[in-house]
Amino acid sequence: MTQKNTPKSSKRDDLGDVFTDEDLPEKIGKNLRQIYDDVLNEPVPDDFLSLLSKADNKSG
Amino acid sequence: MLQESPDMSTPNENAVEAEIVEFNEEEFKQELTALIPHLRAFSRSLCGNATLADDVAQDALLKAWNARERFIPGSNLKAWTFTILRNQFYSIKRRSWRATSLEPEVAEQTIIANSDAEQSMHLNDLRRGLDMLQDDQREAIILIGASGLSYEEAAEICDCAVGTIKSRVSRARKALEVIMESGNFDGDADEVRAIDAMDAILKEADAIAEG
Repeated sequence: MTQKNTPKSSKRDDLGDVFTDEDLPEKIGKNLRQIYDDVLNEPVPDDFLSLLSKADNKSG
Repeated sequence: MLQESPDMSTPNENAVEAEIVEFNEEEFKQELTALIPHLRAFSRSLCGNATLADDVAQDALLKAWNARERFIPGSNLKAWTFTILRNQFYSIKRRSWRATSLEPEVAEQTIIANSDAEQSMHLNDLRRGLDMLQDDQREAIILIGASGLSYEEAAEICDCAVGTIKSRVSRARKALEVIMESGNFDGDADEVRAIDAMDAILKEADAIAEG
């Protein structure tokens, strides 16, 4: 029950346009996915694929 | 009922008798291969540095392959491989903390990858922000916020309770907001002082999140 600390004015509007021009949390979320997706969409380097085929031969 | 002994030393190609859901090596390899982009992406977000990230991802891939007989068919392969990768990351990190500096490489890479210079600047800021987070918060926000895993899966990967993941994600979000808001990343002369200041800011953000 540590809820006391936060006063009721937890509405974003209170600080709204003071710091940010855009919705910061949204921007962070979007960019976070972009960082991840940028790599996700890169072609897989050959070493990765040859790694598995080499491992395959060893275990065969 | 998952106790079949894997005496599959020869790849019996003509035996297509669908018996029990038994471990199929070829299928496993295909699924593992399909997960490589995700392993790389998760690794890159954890490590920052691209070369290091691919090393970690390759190690994890090989470990997953070598441990394939311990994988329970039908369970979540993505979560399983992410767990291996995460362990790999932390074991390397413990051994060589910050052996590789990530800033210059990350910066160049991004500019190549993104034609929009301003956008790549934002992404770099966020990368540095991620780098400043505590490990447990960083991994939580990547898993939930970027990789598309569920809270349950993330909890499994990080070996903690679902509620713990939720609170780590929310702290990470708050910390990133604070970092981005105060964002002065381009001053290199004051870097050390800036990092000290950031430390203080992060503690504050943490206190806010806990409050």
